[in-house]
Amino acid sequence: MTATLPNYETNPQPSLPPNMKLSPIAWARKNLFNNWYNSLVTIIVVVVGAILVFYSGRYIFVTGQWEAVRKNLTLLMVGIFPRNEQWRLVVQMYLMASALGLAWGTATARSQDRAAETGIAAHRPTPLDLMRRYWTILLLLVVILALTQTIWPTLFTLSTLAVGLGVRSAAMRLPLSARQPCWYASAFMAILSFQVVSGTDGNAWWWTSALVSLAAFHLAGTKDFTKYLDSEIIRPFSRHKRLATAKDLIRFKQLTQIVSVIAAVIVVRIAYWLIGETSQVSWDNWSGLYLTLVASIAAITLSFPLALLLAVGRRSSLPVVRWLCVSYIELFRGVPFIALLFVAKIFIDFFLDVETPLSLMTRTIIAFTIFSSAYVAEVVRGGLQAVPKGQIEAGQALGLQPPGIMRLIVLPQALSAVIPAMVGQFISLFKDSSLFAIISVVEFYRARELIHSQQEFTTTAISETLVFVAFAYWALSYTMSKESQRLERHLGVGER
Amino acid sequence: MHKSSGRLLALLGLVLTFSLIAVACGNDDDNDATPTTDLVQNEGTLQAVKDRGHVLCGSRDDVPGFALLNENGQYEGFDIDMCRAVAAAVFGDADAVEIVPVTSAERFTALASGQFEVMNRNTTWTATRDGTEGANFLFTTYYDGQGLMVPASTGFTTLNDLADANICVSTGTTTELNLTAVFAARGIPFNPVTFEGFDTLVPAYEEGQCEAMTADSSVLGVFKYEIEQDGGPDQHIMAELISKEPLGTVVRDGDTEWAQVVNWATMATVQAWEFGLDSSNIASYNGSDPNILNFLGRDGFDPGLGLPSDFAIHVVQQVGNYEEIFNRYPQLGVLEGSVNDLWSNGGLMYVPPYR
Amino acid sequence: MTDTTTINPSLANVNRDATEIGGREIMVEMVGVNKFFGTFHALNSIDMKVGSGEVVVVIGPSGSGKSTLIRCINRLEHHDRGRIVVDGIELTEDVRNIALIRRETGMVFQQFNLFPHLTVIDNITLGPRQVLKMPKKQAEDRAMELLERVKIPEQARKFPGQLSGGQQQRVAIARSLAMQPKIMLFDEPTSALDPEMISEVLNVILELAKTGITLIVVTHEMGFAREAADRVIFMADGEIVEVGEPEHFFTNPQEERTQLFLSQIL
Repeated sequence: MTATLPNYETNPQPSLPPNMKLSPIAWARKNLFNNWYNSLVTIIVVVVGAILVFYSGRYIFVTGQWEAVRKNLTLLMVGIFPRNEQWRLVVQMYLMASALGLAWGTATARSQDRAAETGIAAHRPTPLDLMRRYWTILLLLVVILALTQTIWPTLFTLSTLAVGLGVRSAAMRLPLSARQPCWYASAFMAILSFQVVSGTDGNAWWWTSALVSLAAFHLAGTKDFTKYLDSEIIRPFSRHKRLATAKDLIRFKQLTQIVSVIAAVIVVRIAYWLIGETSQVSWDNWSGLYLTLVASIAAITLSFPLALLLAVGRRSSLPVVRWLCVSYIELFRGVPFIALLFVAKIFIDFFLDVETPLSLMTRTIIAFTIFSSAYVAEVVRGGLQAVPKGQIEAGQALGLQPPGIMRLIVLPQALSAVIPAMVGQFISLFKDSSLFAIISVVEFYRARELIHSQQEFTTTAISETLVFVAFAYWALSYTMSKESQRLERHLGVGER
Repeated sequence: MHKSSGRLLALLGLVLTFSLIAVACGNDDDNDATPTTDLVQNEGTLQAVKDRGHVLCGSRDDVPGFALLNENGQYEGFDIDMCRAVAAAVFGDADAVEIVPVTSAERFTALASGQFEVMNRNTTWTATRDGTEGANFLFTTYYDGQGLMVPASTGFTTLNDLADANICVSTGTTTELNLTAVFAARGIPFNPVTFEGFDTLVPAYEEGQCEAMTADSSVLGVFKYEIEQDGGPDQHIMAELISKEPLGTVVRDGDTEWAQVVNWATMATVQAWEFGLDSSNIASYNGSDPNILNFLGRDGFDPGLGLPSDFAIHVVQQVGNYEEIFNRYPQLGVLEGSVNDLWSNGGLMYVPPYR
Repeated sequence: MTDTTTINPSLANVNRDATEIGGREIMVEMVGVNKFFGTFHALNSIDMKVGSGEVVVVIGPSGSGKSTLIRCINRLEHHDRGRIVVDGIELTEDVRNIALIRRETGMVFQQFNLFPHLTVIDNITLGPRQVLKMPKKQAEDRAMELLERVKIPEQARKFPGQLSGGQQQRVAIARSLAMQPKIMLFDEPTSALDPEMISEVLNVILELAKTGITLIVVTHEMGFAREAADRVIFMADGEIVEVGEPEHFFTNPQEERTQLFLSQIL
């Protein structure tokens, strides 16, 4: 004790623990070769590692028959999607890149504003940080592009990235009043991109116009917009100098909302009329890795809010709500996913005698969502239970109503507590999508199996396709898990 | 508190179950269907298909030669072409068909529930399936049967040549049972070498662990093709079959109009072959055979099948006659002289006259 | 301090129509309040009046029902029998009444119960913005004023987990005050604190006492009771045993149980 004390006094950086500034050699000596058995373990591990690296390197670059993957790359990526309609996927990627860029830029701008306001600098990730964060996905992209046979996919990928980043930096420069419209625009572009891919046949236009008119209704109701209309349009053209009373303003606001909703519906209708309503593709054409990703993302985003409702409902003081939630959760947790898929594909038709049944893909995604929401609901419930009763009491003492307490106090804490478990659930969900093969949906893994139905590859290149598919699953799951850790750190600031 | 809510849950579950059963029964009564859970409307399939604008055809995606999803994301194969023939007959467009892949376990349920209205999914016609699965087996498009394959160099041609031979066979299948039964009946001794599946069986056969391998002859055709393509020794599939596996087109029980449509659309491929018509010459036929003229719908001949009078032209022009279809897929083996040859050539392909 | 009653209120003839006590308006009135936890009789026929601006300290051995008493005032606990009136509003099953009463009362907890996912300033502005619908700017200005008052304005952007116990409790006080309550309820505010932090919190409460807000404080700090209280209520076994001015109470307790308790802790 007393012996170490002078060391600290002479240490130029007393706040750092001593081993943090060790040189690599000193570090190795201290941690890897500090005694004979540790040295032995180190040497064995290094030798075995080198052998593994050598063989896997030789496999990847020399002996591997990647022709099977190369020839069937499109099959793996988009499966049965009609090849002459692939421009739809390209358009979607550009739209998606713009939507994500817009959302990202708006979010960044907002966090910058918030940082400026509070005086606490937000951490800005550098390109290197982003590379490090998403290296597995980048590696997957590089591998896929390396397996393509023309230059076009590479150019296309690069230009997609460029579009996304360009839109992002543009969005960051937009004024504050553009924030809300930007969120809506981003969401709309994402929805539109899926309609491009799925074709606009059927009833797509009405639910799109429903979403757009909701957004229009909200935007037209914002104070900024009413003020803007009042000062820029009404006043110059009106006999009255300005809207006289608050009552007028409210009436005016309601009028604008109605007009915007009608306008939105008309605009969407015309847009669909212009695009044309029939096309050769439908949701059922989605397959391959594309389907795996879309179905997983859809199920994750849809099951999350559903799970919140279920978890909260399970703790409701209304018995009927509670029983309903409990039955839902216990029923769907107790049923194997495969059974649920069969129900979605076949048995639904026995019970529902409908004229135009939902497409298989819709049903599959619904089954996927139902299944996952039951599990996620239980995870969330665990989080809700972990929030101390005192937190609720503090909220009550402030005069908050139960919904406010749930939304502002309990849920934020509950969710940040269960992020790891929830993301674990999502990762397993992502991999469960391979069970779609059971109902003959050609998802990513099934596409790989189909390669080996081809005459040429019946007994060859089995390991290569397996390695490729496994790597893709791993790269995506790993990123999910990394992102969850980051989010956890980010949200865990308060608990530090 | 805890106990009572548990009891309530159980009650709720019971109520749910009963309401589901009630719904099912209610539907049963409405449609007056067979007890084989066929709740889908059984009549008017043709009109429903026409309203929809395309045919839904149950098939598979993983058997080269019969039905395969190829690297371009398109279905191809003998069974797929039979699906396309129906679309060509109904709509005059062979592309107006959507292939619905199904697993063998779910195929009859899927057919009964209305996932598709035609099924070409190498399904053997058996009495039990015809009787209890709510399925109606139509024209047999491919007479399959369990066969034996030997390297051509052995010179074996009959089962008797295989006395005391090692025969590779998949374990636990009807194939194994058939093999044992037939060889025992004929008093030919042999040694079965069993494998879990073809991925281990075929390499073993190629290595020479057995003198012969047995499987359905359609499957043997695939492996024959594959072994020879890989530069292996020539293979010989014995003509003699040791089981009957008629593979054909299946529709739902209960709609004779639709069954007729599908049946005649399929048989048109064989009829054209018999008439010597193929995709290149059918439209330009200028002979005077009255049967052929009827077949082509000249002079407005309409047998009242519910199909356009010129449906056969569309079928053969867009899909081909039976011989063309068969020979498009080398995995199916040699047509000439096989059981699938025309009746006039000693095969089993025989269709009712078109008049 | 004043001529407030020194009679045990449970024995007193309660005048239900009285609107004043000792020259003050009545802020909190409890009549015949009973509370059970299962078969445990937590509050036994409590009668109590607290006047506007009065500082009442509740003491007593643990398990005597002190906390339950003040938690009944803002309906964190449901009382089984009796009547509670806060600033003229009767506490009934009607959620609107409950909401009104909670708006009039602030509460500080033994375990602080700050919201760990919000910064200090967000903790304080949450109530005003969500319940009083106060604009953000105004709410934050008020929050900063209150943080000045509890002497930790520099901690505004930190998270509760980054503060010491004493600082956290002062934030909790600021959070309650932000709702501009007429009554502040303190539920053992210093019991979870390290000894060196107790005084900083008590000082804040003492200053609060001078502002004329009504305070009901459950505590074990006898020094504080002696210095700040207008009245001291001694509870045992769910009953109010004795009520008195602090001087009188500490020097000359009437009841045997009070004498025993004081002899044990002083």
